[in-house]
Amino acid sequence: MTISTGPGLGDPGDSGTLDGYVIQAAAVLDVSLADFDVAATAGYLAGMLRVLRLVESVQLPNEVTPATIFRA
Amino acid sequence: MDMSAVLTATEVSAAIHAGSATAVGMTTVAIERINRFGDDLGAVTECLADRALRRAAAVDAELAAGRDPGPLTGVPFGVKDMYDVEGVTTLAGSTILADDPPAAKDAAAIQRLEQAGAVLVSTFRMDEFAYNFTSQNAHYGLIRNPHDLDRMAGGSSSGSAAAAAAGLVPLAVGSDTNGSIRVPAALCGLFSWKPTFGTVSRAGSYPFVDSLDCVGMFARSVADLVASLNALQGTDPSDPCCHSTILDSVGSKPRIGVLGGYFRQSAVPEVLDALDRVAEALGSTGTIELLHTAHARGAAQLITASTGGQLHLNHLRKRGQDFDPVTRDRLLAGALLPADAYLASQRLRRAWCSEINEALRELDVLLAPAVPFPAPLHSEKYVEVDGAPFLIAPNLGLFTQPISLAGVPVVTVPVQRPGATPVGVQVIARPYEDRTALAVAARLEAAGLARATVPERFREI
Repeated sequence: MTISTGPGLGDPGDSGTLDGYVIQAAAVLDVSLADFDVAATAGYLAGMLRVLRLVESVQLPNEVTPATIFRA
Repeated sequence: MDMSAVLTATEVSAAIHAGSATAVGMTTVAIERINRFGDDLGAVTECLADRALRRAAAVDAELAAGRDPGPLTGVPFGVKDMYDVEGVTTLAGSTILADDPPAAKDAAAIQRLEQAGAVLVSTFRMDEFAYNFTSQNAHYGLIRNPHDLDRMAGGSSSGSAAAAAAGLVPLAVGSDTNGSIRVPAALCGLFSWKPTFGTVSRAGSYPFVDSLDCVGMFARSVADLVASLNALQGTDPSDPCCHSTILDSVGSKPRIGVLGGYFRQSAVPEVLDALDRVAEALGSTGTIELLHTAHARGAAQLITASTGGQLHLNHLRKRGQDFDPVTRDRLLAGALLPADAYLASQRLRRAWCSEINEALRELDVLLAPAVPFPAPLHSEKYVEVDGAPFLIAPNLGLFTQPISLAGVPVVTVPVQRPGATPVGVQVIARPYEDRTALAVAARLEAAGLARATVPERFREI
């Protein structure tokens, strides 16, 4: 498994095409973007979505349910 | 008794029980150290001198009356400033909470340590809302590594680690969500204990990620961590996740393996050398690879971002300008993640628990490096790994995040490097077998391979 050394959750990377999503989704959540860096937020979000692709690449049987009530 | 000596918690308690020291005397020394060195380290939020001296006098009075206050008699300790202290506003490294009312009572962790005889003397700085590993807080400044003040202490329990490593207190309470105890313990050269999830009450602590957050401890000896475990563990209806207890038994000859693959790919040679020396000293049976480690780390990142973003959504709506810039945009990005990210990660988490528990069926303990590199300079953004630049902030938790996703207990042991800052090794055990990890750490300590030392400049008082 190669470990990404590129932008991740600790550093904003290329925001790609997510600026528009950030603007619209923030409005839905009633967050004013006046105090935020939209490009940086979109960059972090893009990094998170890349991580999501990695997580979703693991084929899990359907009976594996979310560990929402967690116990070690 | 030489009151200027930097003692461990066990030594402090023994000296007071033997009558060669008093709780007031030991507390006074801790207050003097905090006042003298706290600013150099940027570690202290508030020294609670009046409260501490009152409490210490009560401990001495108990002893004088023939009662034993407990195994931590007169031991000064401090807490990360996310733990409620009666009469003090809990900041969690932020300015956003500064106008909140003072806490009505102490957090459960403080209550339990004081019930064992300890004395709370200070609150310590942290990375804002526990969402960073770099010990850099835009509101309150840098928290510095006692072994080299230009270097990071590690976070987010940065002040607690710096204070314990400099000998300001023998014991400090931190919290660990993705590595916030293990990372600073490794960079500052301390022993630390992150318990099995759900065995130590978090009541009265400011939350971050409810399905990952753990109370935990920093100390300069394994015996001090054992004493802390005995005081802290136990169920608590005030924390709905705190429903289990740690096993009392310890296996006589644990089988030990080393995590390879992911855990060797991005570590610098000094860190791998320390890991290999620890493995050899313990008679490791070999290396195993967990195939989904990178995926597990990803799941931990997404659960953290989503939960943290949701937790702070009201602050993001109303107080966006008051966040630390490195926290603000990440929290908003987390709040904007689709539910799929959280749920897919929680499904992966269940499978990951099975994978790590399967590895722990054949082996009693797994070893892994704690941080890929030694303490970086505060001025650096990159370190060099395998001849290439490697971002520091996103990678400090590279080796700790996947482990805590499974909720297993981890003890971090410090390995000293002559003329350089220490590095840390994670000792990982099965759920509820925290004492096995502590027993292995004690073997390394007894062999002289794992050792926490207070730097010379902090020994003068």
